[in-house]
Amino acid sequence: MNTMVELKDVQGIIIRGYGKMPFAAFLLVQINDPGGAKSWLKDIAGEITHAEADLDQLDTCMNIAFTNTGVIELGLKPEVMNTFSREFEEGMTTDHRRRILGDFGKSDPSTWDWGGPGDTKAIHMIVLCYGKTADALQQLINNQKSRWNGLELVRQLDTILLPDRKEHFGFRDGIAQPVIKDAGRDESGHPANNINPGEFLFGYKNEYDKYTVSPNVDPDMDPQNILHADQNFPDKKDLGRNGSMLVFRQLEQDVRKFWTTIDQAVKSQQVDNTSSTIEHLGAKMVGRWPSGAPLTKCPFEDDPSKRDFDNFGYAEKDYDGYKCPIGSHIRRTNPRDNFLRDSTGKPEKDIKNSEKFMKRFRIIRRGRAYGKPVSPNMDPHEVLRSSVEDTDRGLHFLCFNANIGRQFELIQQTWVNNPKFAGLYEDPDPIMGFPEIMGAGATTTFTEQAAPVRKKVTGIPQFVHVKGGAYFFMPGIRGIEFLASLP
Amino acid sequence: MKNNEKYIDQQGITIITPIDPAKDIKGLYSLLNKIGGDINNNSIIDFRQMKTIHYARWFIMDLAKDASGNLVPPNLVYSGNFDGSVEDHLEELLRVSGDGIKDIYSYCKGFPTADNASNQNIFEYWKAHVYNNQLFWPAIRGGTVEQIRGEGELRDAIQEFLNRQAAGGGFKDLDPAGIHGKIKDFIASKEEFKWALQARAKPSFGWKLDYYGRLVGRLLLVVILLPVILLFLLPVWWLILSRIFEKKDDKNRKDISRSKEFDALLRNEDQVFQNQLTIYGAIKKPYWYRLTTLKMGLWIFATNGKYRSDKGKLSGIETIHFARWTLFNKGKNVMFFSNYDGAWEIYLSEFIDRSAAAMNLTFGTTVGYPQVKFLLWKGAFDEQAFKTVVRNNQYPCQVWYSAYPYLTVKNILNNHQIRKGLDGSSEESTADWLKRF
Ligand code: HEM
Repeated sequence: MNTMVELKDVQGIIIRGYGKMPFAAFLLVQINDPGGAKSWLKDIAGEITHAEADLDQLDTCMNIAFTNTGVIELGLKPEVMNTFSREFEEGMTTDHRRRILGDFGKSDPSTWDWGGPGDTKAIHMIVLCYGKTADALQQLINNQKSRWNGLELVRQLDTILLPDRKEHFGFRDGIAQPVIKDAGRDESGHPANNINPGEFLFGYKNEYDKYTVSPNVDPDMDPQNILHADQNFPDKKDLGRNGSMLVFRQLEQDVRKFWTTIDQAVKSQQVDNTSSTIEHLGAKMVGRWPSGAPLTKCPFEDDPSKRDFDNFGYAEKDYDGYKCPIGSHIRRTNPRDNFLRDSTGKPEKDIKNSEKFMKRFRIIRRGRAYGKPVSPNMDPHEVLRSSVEDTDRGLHFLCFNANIGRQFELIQQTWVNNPKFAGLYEDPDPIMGFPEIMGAGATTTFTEQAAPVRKKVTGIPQFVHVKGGAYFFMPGIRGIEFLASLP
Repeated sequence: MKNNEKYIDQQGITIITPIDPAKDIKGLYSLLNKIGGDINNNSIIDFRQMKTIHYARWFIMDLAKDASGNLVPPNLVYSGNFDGSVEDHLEELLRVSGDGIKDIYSYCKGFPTADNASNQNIFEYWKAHVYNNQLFWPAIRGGTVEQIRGEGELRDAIQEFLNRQAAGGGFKDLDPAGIHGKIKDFIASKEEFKWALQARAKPSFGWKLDYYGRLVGRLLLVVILLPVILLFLLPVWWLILSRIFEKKDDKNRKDISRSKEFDALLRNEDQVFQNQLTIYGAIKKPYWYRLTTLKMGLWIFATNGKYRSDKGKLSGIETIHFARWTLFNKGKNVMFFSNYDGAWEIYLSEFIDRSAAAMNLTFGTTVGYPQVKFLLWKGAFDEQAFKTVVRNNQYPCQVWYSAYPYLTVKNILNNHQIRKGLDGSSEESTADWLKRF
């Protein structure tokens, strides 16, 4: 019998996407007075939405996370900070981490709106606010702000719900997610998609059958005995238990450039009579059709009835990538049963190992779009005709994992940014990759595997730029009570 | 292309030379950093002119300890992977960048002084400091630098040709054989790719005799020793002993909280899509037991690696160009070098996923390694503990050169198959061959 996840202590957004709460805003907050911040935290600890809350009964949800400087501000000492991961302690913008994440050129942290070295105000905390209606959301924000004392709003990041839950390029988002085991979720899908809680939450076994190293404190720092013992170091108390690490990246999307590039590529393919529609080429780059239907299941045309279909693999029916290209966004961010390509010479063994190993490289995505769409109905042909200014729009990319280095950063570096992914040569992620990663003056390509011979889109520019970001620690509810109790 | 005429082997060499305590080691650091900081264009070591080096590195091994905590005096370590003979390799180093080499080694004890620094004397000096490989594993057998680069250019040229043809509608209604024919015609029309239509030379009879002769030797050794091994139930004793010694090992998982100081490592990491790994370990006591275990483990892997893992994968890992284990400090310490594709994090994860037991049998004999059970179990299966001990034992490498930083092992293998589809030695169908683009 496995340990069940203590859902009442887990912040709700980690376990659930709050699909019932279409309105959301994220508040970036600076702590000016730690005492005031702690009394507010103590006050609202009971109002934080936990993972067992009945969303039908609620009009709003709220979750909270902290940056490294945030928890220091609340009173954590260096010896405690040392128990956090390097990624969290160093932050997102060190020289080496920029190479991992690919934050150069227009994504250089020095140009970020927030989270970069140019910040004039510190970001200590993020308050994720969700509402069933715009009014409910606004009320939640007003209500919380009115109770703030020594807290200052640095920036409010608003979001927008696009039709059919699409992102700005026009593809349905938030479909494929790992299922956390032992957390009361539906585990009847593909077993390879059911992941041990320790991959996302501290205090539970991960996919190596170990407890992910968690931030911890000396027992004498916890006189009220709020925290449990640390599973790795029983003489310490586990500050991380039921908490997770939140990765936040504000990703600006150049929607018109995306569809213009695709349009030109399709036109240039017409000479060879091999051209398809712009929707098809776009879908090949993503791996799903605009409706969400996966190409591996629906290779020739969109089928909205399959929009949330997720129980599929690549190895058996689409090994060569003729349906869903090997370098497409979803196939590289989760190669599924085709992670090992011809590794042992025995296909069944490769599939089994792929499914086992892939469990160690998953993230839970909780992003929301922001900014007005180029075309209200998300139709790419209208995007091409549109002359709307390329104003601020994109994706507030949020994801949860217990080990940022092995999960989010690995996916970003080894799969998204890496043009060498799965035996390719100069193909970074077609929607998010960028040429500079290959060195100055390099061009990147997108390969559509096909018979008798592949097609290529060459010279793909960068469509997605980073505008801000940070790594946050999202404690369990007890963790928040503990932080509020710090002297 | 040279290896069209003759099969050429790849080799690896490790030269460990003591740094002269009378010299200022900081000067050596800054000299090496200067080279490493501009690896392809520095004026000290002109790697681009060295035609037979695949990978090379120099680093300062400072503060290494044995299991009793005794410091190993600082050494300069050179590690190179190259084509052809050791003599030719050292000769090339001196011929191309003799002055730079002499600058570097002027910091080392016993290096011939200026008036004595004939090539002959330098060779003698180096050879006196060469350390044997316990295991040496190249991913690409017989693939010279010249071939790897040439086949890379060949593939690029064909890709561009395919793009142009597609844009001009040139492939309309062609079947695989037709497209293959067009590609072949295109290459045949290019003087610079004439070599590609001719197959690489096969190993000679003498080479094969040596290669398989050694395998027979290894197997014979096993056959001869087997009765003795079985008679005295040696494996059982070995396992019983393993439990006795393993129980004494440090049980503390304290080390899984992350290691601290590795900024110097990160500074050089992920500059290109390849990286190097340099780690050392202090072999645990009792030496006789651990060192024998390590040597046996490496002997098994060397045999397996040489005769079975000859398709570009070492223990199922597809991203290693060269790997090597070397003992030093009179068998009290061991070093591991590799040149690999991609990031450290996935590389280490793959070791855990695919060959944790192999790591345990070998690195499990060194200090600080997460506790192993029965030689093979536990240990590296503790992911975070394993990664931490690797970081803790990793040396920053001041100078690291790759002859083809933009080609992965998979790229190189694929490029070679592309060439084989032109030179007539390919065994796959034309349709499968075309998938390689
Ligand atoms: C503006 C940037 C991005 C856009 C427009 C985008 C869009 C999409 C879309 C349309 C899907 C398919 C729908 C779904 O399964 O939910 C998807 C899936 C996914 N994306 Fe992204 N994404 C972006 C950034 C990222 C980043 C930065 C990462 C991680 C480093 C990421 C990781 C994933 C993963 C893991 C999946 C699920 C793949 C699967 O399990 O099949 N995405 N994305």
